[in-house]
Formats: sequence, C-alpha cells, structure tokens
Amino acid sequence: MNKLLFLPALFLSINVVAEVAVIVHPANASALTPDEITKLYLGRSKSFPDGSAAIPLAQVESTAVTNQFNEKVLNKTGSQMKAYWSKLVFTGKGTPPKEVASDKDVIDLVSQNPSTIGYVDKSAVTPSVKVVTTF
Amino acid sequence: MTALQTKVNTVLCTLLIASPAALSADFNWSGFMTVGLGKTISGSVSGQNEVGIQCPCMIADYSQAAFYEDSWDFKPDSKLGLQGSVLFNDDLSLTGQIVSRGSRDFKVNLEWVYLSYQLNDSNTVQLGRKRIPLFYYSEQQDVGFTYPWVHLPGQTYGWEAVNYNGLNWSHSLQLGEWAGIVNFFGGNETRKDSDYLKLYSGLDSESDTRWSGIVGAEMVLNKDWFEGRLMVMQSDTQSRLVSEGEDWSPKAKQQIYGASALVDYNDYLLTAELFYSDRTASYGRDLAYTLSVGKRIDAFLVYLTHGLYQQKINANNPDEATADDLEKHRDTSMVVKYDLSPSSALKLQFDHWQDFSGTWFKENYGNANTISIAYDLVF
Repeated sequence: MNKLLFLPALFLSINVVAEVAVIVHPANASALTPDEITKLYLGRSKSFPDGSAAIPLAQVESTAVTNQFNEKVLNKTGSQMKAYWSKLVFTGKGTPPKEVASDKDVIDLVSQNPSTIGYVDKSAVTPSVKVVTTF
Repeated sequence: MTALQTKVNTVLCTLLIASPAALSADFNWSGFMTVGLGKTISGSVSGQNEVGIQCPCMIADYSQAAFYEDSWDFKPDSKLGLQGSVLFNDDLSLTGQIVSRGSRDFKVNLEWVYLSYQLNDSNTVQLGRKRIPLFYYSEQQDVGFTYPWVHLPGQTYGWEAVNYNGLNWSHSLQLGEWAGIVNFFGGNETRKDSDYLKLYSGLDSESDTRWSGIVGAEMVLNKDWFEGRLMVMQSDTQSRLVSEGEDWSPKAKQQIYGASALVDYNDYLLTAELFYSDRTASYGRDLAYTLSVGKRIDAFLVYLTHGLYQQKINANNPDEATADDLEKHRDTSMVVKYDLSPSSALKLQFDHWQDFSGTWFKENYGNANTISIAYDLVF
C-alpha cells in the first residue's frame, strides 16, 4: 500500500466505532429485525411490532456512530440520508427522527421513555436500557 | 387565482406570520439553494427566435420558462427556498415555503402554504397551497439536492400547472414487507401570467392558464431497493392570451396517467418514468418517458438519462392544431455528481436535445447541446 492510499484508511479508522447497539427501554419486549429498524428510521413505520407507538432517536449527523448506523443498518451514506429526508421535509411528507447530541443523551431519553428507540456505541450501553441488536 | 383562493392564502400567511398561537408554538425552518450556470454550445437554430430567446437554445424548465441561450447564464437553474413550520401540537402544523428563482428574476414566490393535521399514525389531511404530484420528482423539483440532475428532464417535467390550492389526504400502508402511501388530492390552480405559455407566445406576451376541478390519486410502494409509483388525475384546462384581450377558452377535460419505477441496488440506479395524457378535448394525446441508469462510486454519481416527449395531434381537434404545431423531442443527458458534504453537492450535466417537432418548434428551438453546472445545498 502506498502512502497516499494509507492516509484515508488511517482517517477512516479514527472515525469508526467498534459496534453500534440499537437500544430500547427495558420494558419494551419487541424483537426487531434490521428491516423493521430501517422502516422506523426511514419513517415508513411508526410503531413497534406489538403496535405501540415508536419514537426513533438519531444522533447528530457526521458523527462516527451515526455514519456507521446509516451505512450498516440503513445502507445509506450521510448524503443519501440527507437527500431522502430533504425530499420528505420539503414536500410535507415527513420529518426526520429527532437528533440527540451524544450516546449519553440517547441512553437517558430511552431509559425514561418506553416509546423511544435509539442507537449508541456499544461500549456506552448501561443497564438502564435494553440492547435489541448490534451491528 | 380566484378571490376565495387568494383569501385562503392570505389567511394562511397571516396565521403563519402573526398568530399568537404561532409565537408560543414550536417553530422550525430549513432551506435549499441551487446555484447553476450553463450555456448552449451548439444547436440547429441561431439568432433570436420568434419567442425572443437567443439560440442555440434549450428549455431547462418549461413550467418556469427557464431556458439556456448561447451565453453563460446563471438564471435558468438557480434558486433559493426557505421553509418555515409552526407545530401547534403533535398533530397540527402550518408550513410555508417561499422560493426565489433566477428564471423569474429572483422574484419571491409563495410556493407552498398548508395546514397539516395528523388524524392518526397512518392518516394525514393537508389543506392549502401545495404541489401537484404529477410525476415522481414533481413535488421536490425546486430542491436540486434531492435529485441527480442540474435540471429535471423536460420531456416529462414540463407542464403549465405546478401547484394547486386544495386538499389532500394521505394514508400510509403496510402490506407485509411493503410500505407505501396512497394520496388523494383535489383542488384548482389558476396561473396568472403563465411562464409556460411565454415559451410559445413570446417572452413579452401575457397568458393565464387554469386547471380546475383537479381530482387525483397517487400510490407509492417501497421495498428494500425498489420503489414504484402510480398516479392518475383529471381536470379541466383553460387558457387565455391576456395580451391579446382573449377571454378564457372553453373548459377542456384532460386525463393524466403516470407510472414510475426506481431501483437502487448495490450503488446501481435504474429509473423509469412513463407518462400518458389524454387531451382529446384540446388537441390529442401526449406520451413521454424518461429512462435513467446510474452508478455511485464513492462520493461520485454518474447518471445517464434518455427521455422522449411525443405529442399526437388528432384530426379535426378542437384547438385546430396542425402538424406544424406538433412537438416531439428527445434529450440524452449525462450527469456527474459529487457529494461535497452530507448536505451539498456539485453537478456537471451535458444535454443532447434532438428535435423531431413540426415546423414551428423546429424553427424556434430545434436541436441543442448544452452544458450546465450546479452547486446544491440544503440547510
């Protein structure tokens, strides 16, 4: 590998989190498939499989955990996600998930509200939330 | 616009700007911008055409009378839009969107203003001024960042009515693995000093167009990498050449049918749009399609499109249109798009427009090759 190729690879490695954990409130008994998680985060579904309302929480764009969630779970780049939501926002068809500033904020909100679902760096998970799946 | 429609708009605007409820409610705003630049590089017509356009020339957006001439111009595709929403509670909101576009000398237009009421998780009713969802990209046509081209393919996206004042009800669906939306819409649109008709009657002319009794439905279905869409609508159409003192033409019914399919698989993109309209009550029929293939390579997208618009003029048609008036053309375009950031992109587009029209269109527009670049941003 020459140096030019190596530099972006190094940059990438700094911006990758080990694993992304999708978390819900401990009282939420829903088992969620990647497809169901994708539908919730693309606004194509608004409830958990048991029929109760779901409020997806995102983290601010361009953070390592958001990039990894977008690419691994939603199979979209940050740019594609922005274009997807811009289309819905400017045509009155939807609003993107609320953005939260950090893993800690996501965990705080999810631990307090059984309707929420979030994603965090797996290493940040605490017993106050339940991990549905990891990517 | 009728007096009633004007009144509805005024009330909605006042609500948006000055309502005490609005002041205490949640307010958020966002926006979009395109800075475009382009020119024709060759073509079959030269000099100023009858319409007043300097040729070689190519229409970039029929509905806004945006066209490229033989010198560099940033007006045809440049625009700036701002949207504000007031959320009165979880279910009720009021949204307004204004757009300033180069093709209209940067005059600010109120494009959208509507009340939105969410009846429940799967049903929403909206009332106000919205965009007619004629084709897949119609509603987002001002937000360049959301589509691959510098300008949408004129063969499909080129009609005299863009917005409407009315009501729509959208219902979201879950059919097993499929998710989707069915949207019913109805209303009216009168466009004073229609830009579209300036492309035919002259840039200095003044015409009004009207689509009344618009009733339509669209259905969109998604699954993984596939999205499909069907649309059907009808309305009465009328027009008048104000600058020649004409009265409204008799109402003529039109039926419009659209179908779209989009595939986004492993960074390969495939898009097809079909369009058919029955305008027997005016001149005949229209057929149009757009086919695209694309490939994402890291932050780049390479996108190839071919489109056809073909008019069929019936014998003894009420408009008394003749073979000389026939419009038929193809456009083949190549776009290279580069994502500068998650919310901005640069695009370079080359258009190869081939004209197969009757005498009038061929002598006034004809073939053209056009180059255009754009910087798109959402914020």
